[in-house]
Amino acid sequence: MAYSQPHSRVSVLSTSSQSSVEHLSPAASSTRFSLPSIPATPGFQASRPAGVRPNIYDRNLNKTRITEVSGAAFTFLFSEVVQYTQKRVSGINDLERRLNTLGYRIGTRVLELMVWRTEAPSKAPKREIRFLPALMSIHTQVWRAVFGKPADAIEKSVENADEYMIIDNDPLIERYISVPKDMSQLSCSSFTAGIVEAVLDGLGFPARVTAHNTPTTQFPSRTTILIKLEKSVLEREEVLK
Amino acid sequence: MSHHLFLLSPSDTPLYSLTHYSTKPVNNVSSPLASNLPNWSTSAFAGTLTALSGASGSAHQTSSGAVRMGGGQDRHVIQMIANASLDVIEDIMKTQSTMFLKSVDKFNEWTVSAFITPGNMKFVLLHEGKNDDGIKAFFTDVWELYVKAMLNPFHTAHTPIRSPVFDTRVRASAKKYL
Amino acid sequence: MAIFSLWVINKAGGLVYQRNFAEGLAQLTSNEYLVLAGTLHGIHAITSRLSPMGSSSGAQVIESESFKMTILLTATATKFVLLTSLTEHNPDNVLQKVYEIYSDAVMKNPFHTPEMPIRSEGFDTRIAALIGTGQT
Repeated sequence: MAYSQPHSRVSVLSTSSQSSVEHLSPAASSTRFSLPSIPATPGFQASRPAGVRPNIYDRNLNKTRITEVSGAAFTFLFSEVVQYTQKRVSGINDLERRLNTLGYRIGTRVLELMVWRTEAPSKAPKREIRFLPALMSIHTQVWRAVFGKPADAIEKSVENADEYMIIDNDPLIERYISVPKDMSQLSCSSFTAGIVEAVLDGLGFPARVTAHNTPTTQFPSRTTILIKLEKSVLEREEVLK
Repeated sequence: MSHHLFLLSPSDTPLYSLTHYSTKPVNNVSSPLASNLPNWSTSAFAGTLTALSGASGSAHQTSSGAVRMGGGQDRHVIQMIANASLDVIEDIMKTQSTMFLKSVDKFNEWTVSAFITPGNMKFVLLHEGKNDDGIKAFFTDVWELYVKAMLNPFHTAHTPIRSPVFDTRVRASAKKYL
Repeated sequence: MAIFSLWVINKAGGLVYQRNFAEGLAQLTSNEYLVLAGTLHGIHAITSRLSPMGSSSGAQVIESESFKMTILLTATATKFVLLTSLTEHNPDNVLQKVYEIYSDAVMKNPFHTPEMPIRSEGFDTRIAALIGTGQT
């Protein structure tokens, strides 16, 4: 009780020396407890607005719109994420799946926050309901929101109508990662794939999204995010045509 | 006049609900179904049916009318109407790109308006009068609050929202706009 | 004017990276390199302990008749050693850049274990870009 009301305690200490007795005596403290902090609380809040716990609901969502995160801090964090995950998995597929799941959690939030920032000021906020514009907005807006630059290309699979690819020549999250030779299939961009999957899922285009290394001599860490759409999406696109 | 708000996750689990009694004047909407339905008494579901039909049986009537209980105001009936409107909402949201879907469904005195966030969360509001601008402003507020709630790393798309601050803010917004 | 070799010695005195860039030094086996790195670690410890001026970061340059070794000691006691010709004018600058590359390509790589030999493709390519691929 005394700790939650620093002000009353300070005033007691400054006026009399018997304060410690008062605090230690159970009888005295019980009278304090019998009066739940009604008189103390308003004064407490008014005199110490900074002491109130910060609250996400008080914060403007646009506050961090143009601020940037330290690249080094992010790479160290992501490196720890990969190490942590790697200790808890049985193989490369499992590791990629876990990174995907982690990315998914980011993606749901990115989507909601990103669209809120662009659409909330408008009179009639809109969602994306067609697939190709949604894919374009992932390529530019999502990439820009997450990595600070748009992705490098979008491609459509020639063989399969349900497959699309987003290509990043130099993925930010892999910039300092060197995958050992015995794990060469691993792509840490599975994390990015998870983000893409969450965004597509949220917009109502369920898909299976995976990441693959497709290096070229010019871009050794070039990565392809492969999107395999569910049948229902293609059917819906047909209807909407 | 009361309002009922439901926040539903993409898999239709309710995450938050609010009943708000407005002090603003009611402009009554007649309920055509209620007048057309006979007063059934043989069915075991008689109570629910009359409630669904919106006919206020003598048992449900209160004299004051400030807060009407029973009739179309039963909790389970409200939930049923909200759930029933989901089919309509899901149909419309596939073809219509606006997030705010006004008056998507009507049931007796209830009009259902909805708001679909980009992440496929559905905000469903049951209301009696017509107040499009107010409802839109209210939904916009709830959307902002929801975005903030989901930025919490412990929140998932299926976690009920129990934050007292969220609740207070939604109530304040309801008071302001509804 | 040539850079002969780059060594990275961990805080326990183990050689975790060694690469030759130019001919000129005697070719040794990897075991011999390990021993020499350990010896250098010891010499470095002696020079820092014996300093008459109180605490010292130890030897910075060791010069011989035909080449010199420049040592950069980091805050975490990792040592970067550059073996160059006597005329190489700015080995410290090169070492600073090597340190930078090390922090990027090695420390940020989740597949690197601290204090273990450096096997990172990213480190190799960046060092090659800085100093040269080898026998120039």
